[in-house]
Amino acid sequence: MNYSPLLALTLGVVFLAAVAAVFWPRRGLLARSRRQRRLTDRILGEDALKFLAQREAAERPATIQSIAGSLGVDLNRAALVVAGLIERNLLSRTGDQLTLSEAGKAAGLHLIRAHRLWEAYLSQKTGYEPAEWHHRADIREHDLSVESLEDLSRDLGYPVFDPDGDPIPGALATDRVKPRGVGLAGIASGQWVRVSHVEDEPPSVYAALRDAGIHAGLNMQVETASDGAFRVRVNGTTVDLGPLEVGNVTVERLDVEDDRGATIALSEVPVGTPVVVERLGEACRGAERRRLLDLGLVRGTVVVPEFRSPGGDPVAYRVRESLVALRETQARNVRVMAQETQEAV
Amino acid sequence: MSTSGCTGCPMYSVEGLKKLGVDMREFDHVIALAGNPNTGKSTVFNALTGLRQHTGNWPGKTVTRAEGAFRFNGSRYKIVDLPGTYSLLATSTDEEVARNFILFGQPTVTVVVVDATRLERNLNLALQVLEITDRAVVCLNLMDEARRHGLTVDDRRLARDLGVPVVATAARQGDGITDLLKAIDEVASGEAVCRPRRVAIRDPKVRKALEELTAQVSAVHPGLPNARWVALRLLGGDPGIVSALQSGELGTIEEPQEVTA
Amino acid sequence: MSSEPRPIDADTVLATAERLRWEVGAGLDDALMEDIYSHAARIADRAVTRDGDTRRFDLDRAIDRVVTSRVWGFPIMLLLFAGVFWLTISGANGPSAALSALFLDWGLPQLHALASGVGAPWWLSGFLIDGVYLATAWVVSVMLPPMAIFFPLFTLLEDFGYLPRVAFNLDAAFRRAGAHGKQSLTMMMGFGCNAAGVVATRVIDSPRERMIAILTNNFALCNGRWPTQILIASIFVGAAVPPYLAGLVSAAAVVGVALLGVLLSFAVSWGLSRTVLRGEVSTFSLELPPYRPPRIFKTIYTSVIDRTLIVLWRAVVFAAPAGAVIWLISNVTIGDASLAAYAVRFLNPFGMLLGLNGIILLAYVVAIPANEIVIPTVLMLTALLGSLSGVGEGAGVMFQSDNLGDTYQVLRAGGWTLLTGVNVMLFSLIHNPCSTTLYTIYRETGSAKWTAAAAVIPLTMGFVVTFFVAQVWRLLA
Repeated sequence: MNYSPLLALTLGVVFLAAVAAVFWPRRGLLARSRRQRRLTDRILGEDALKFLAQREAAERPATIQSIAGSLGVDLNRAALVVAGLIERNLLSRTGDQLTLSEAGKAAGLHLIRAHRLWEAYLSQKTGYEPAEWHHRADIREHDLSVESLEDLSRDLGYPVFDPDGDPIPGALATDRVKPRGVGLAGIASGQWVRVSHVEDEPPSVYAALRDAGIHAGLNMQVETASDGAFRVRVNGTTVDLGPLEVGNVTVERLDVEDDRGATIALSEVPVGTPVVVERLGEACRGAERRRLLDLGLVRGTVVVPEFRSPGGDPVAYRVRESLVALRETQARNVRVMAQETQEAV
Repeated sequence: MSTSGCTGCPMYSVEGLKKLGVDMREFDHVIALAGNPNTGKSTVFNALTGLRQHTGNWPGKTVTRAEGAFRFNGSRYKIVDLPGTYSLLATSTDEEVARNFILFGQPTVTVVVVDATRLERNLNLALQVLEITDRAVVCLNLMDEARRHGLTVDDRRLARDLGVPVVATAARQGDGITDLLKAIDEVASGEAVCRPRRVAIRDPKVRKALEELTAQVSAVHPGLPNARWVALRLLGGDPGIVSALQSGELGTIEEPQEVTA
Repeated sequence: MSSEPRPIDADTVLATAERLRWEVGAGLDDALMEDIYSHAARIADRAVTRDGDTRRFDLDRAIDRVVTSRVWGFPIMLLLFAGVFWLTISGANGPSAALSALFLDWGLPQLHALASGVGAPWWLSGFLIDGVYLATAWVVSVMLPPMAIFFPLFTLLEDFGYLPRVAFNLDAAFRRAGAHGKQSLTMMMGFGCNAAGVVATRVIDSPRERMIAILTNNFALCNGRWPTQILIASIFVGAAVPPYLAGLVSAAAVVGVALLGVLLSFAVSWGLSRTVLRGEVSTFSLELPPYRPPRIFKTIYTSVIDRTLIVLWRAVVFAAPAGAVIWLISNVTIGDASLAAYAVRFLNPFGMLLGLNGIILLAYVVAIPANEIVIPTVLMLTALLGSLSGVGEGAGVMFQSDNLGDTYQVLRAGGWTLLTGVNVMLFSLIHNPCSTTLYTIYRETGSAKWTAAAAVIPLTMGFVVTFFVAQVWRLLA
């Protein structure tokens, strides 16, 4: 074949396009086929076990229909999966009632533990966004034996909660499945609560709650709770919640009024104004949180924004006599109060 | 070795040090140098040993562990420059290296270099070191800079509040290095006794949990000089400490108390 | 004390710890740090007194206000770095010429005379003197003077405390590319030497951003590649325009290539942070230390020891074997042709496809250890394989003529066109890092996988870029 620039150019473009089609992140053929391979019988069976164990812990019996819905497969496939589990003596069936055997319970619990440990891992040791944790943990939970799960737990410092406030069942403490607390829906107006758990499914509701600034560990006040409207005060701003969102939040009642909720983000403080740190936001975790704690950003620390960079972000803050630059995304997670308020308390 | 005879003399852990790659033949004492990044720790190291390690005005310059040696008052000292860290919670490799050295190497004296112009932030590390070991000297460095900034630091008051000797230095000028050597020597020989004040835990839930756990840790390893700190790390799920407890390695750092019936 | 009947062992303690951890709940670290800091604050409060006079603090702030201001921040930065580069380039010319005169013009004949004096066989003196010695001497004379000037100047700025402010000023741009502001400094170091730039990434304490800085450092045009750019730009790009524009255009071409490198490093940073490095931990911390008057002599001493000599030593360790290989491939013959001739014949079609040629590709393969010897190797191979008479020093002896016209003639005779010149400039910017840098990357990352990525990513990009430039060029020409 004779060389011609046009031919070479065309072949070059075609080649690049082919490479891109195969390797493109998330949409490429490679990524797609990997996703397809996930839907094996083993993985569906494990997902079903996890779902059943969660339902049993919540005392809401599961049906084949709900399993199909949770796994995202049709009824036939779900029935096959259930039949497979019954055959392996992990599950028994009387009428519509599905009951896990002891072995099935143990397997389900192992998967719940794996899932929540992975979420803890993803939140602490990786840079993935919160919206990705659940999905990624769903994939990884199937790849762990009991021993490697112990290793994972040890590396994470034996966590007892996942990032959404779900308790992580221990190797011994198998009863830790349900989050502590009660549903947000049952709380009366005026009550202060501490968010103990935010359900991470379905993703759209989870995203809406995150956007509203509601995380596990947050203290907030219920402002209005009547059947039509549900309004909470979060960090000094009011947020309206829909019924789906309210249903996905578990809280613990606080005895005292905690008016420390009236804080502002450090990123909103004008240059030259001294403020006092109230706490680090819940969205700041893992290495990032420890770094900020090391720098002395703990409750009671006085912080002064000193000057901005030419682009406006980052900003240099004086923290305990040293000058530290923080990006806007970081300063947003540092909750502060005006200095006078602190002294008055 | 000269240490075997005297009663009050602290002993470093020969085994622990060997594991950490420090050869202690021909030395009487080992000194660990800890400090925040950018506090002039390497300058202090150079002033003590006469070596010339590059020191830059950048946090986190020293990455590899440097070792040096000096003689003072008839004793031969080995000095190990630990990575500069803000904390000892062992959440990064640097912190783990520094923490393990102080905990398992049991240096005769740990010198904590602190920046006199940023005392609060630097005391964070110093207080953590004092939770782990009693035998420490605080080197209050950059005193020249503090003076230029109009700061006066009362080193005697600081020594009283911390419970360990505090030496004011300006290592860049070489000021106070002899005093530092003297203080190290006094602590090493047992002449100066350190009684570090430990941080009070305010959260009642944490305090109660800590008391229960400390009692159990002390029951397993009675000679542990830092049982409360070990308990605190166990509560925090520190993998290094958990495995040290499981493997019995913690027992190697028990102090030889007046037992041996 | 607990009143348990059975003795307490390690497992009991761990079980207790597990139960208490559950009871205490999350937030232990926060509570602990809070207690330590409030204790520290109380102690510091009692020990520190501040007199009313805080002029010095104000001086620091005043400097900061100027060097980070919207108006003056960037001009000051540009001025300072332009100054550093100017001092490096103008200051290094003389010493480089002197070293080259010493090692090459004087030392080489002397060594040859010595060798023939003791009756060494031609292959031994060729291998040792024309191969090993020549390559090493070449690298030293090109590399040492600029590094000995650049690094101390850079270190002075560092000691004064200015560099963290540069990172502060530039962070906004790097943030958008998913990188850390401190990458600006490692890039700047990379203009001196990529290996030093990679070592400098240690100041970036966030794993993701540090890896990005390591993988993209190669796009900072290093000291070893500047001479190639300048030479090719002046004899090919400069020659393509009217004489009165030649100087300006060729200078613009070199600066353009360097800027392209900066752009590419932003683009690759962006791509990496969104694909393969997405899952790495990312934190940001940038402390702005107080300004300190730099101690000039001490700084010069330590930076020469710390950076220049170490980097130089590694370069020499890698350059010496490269010299040996270059000599061997030109002198070992199978049948009627040297190894080099076979290799060039094999690489030629591929080279032509990229708008280069087999000699250039071979030179890049054997000169992986040091970019400085690419052009001398190209010249030697071109003269050797083209059987040009009257030029060159013989098989396996690298050379470079001071006369640009001679060099131009040699390359033209080797079939070079303006396209070849442009693509050599591009490929010199976009190809795998030298082996010193790769070795450093391996040392710093401890990972063969990332070291391979650091080589494969730019090399693939270089092939793609030169390929498309060549096809489009030929289509339009």
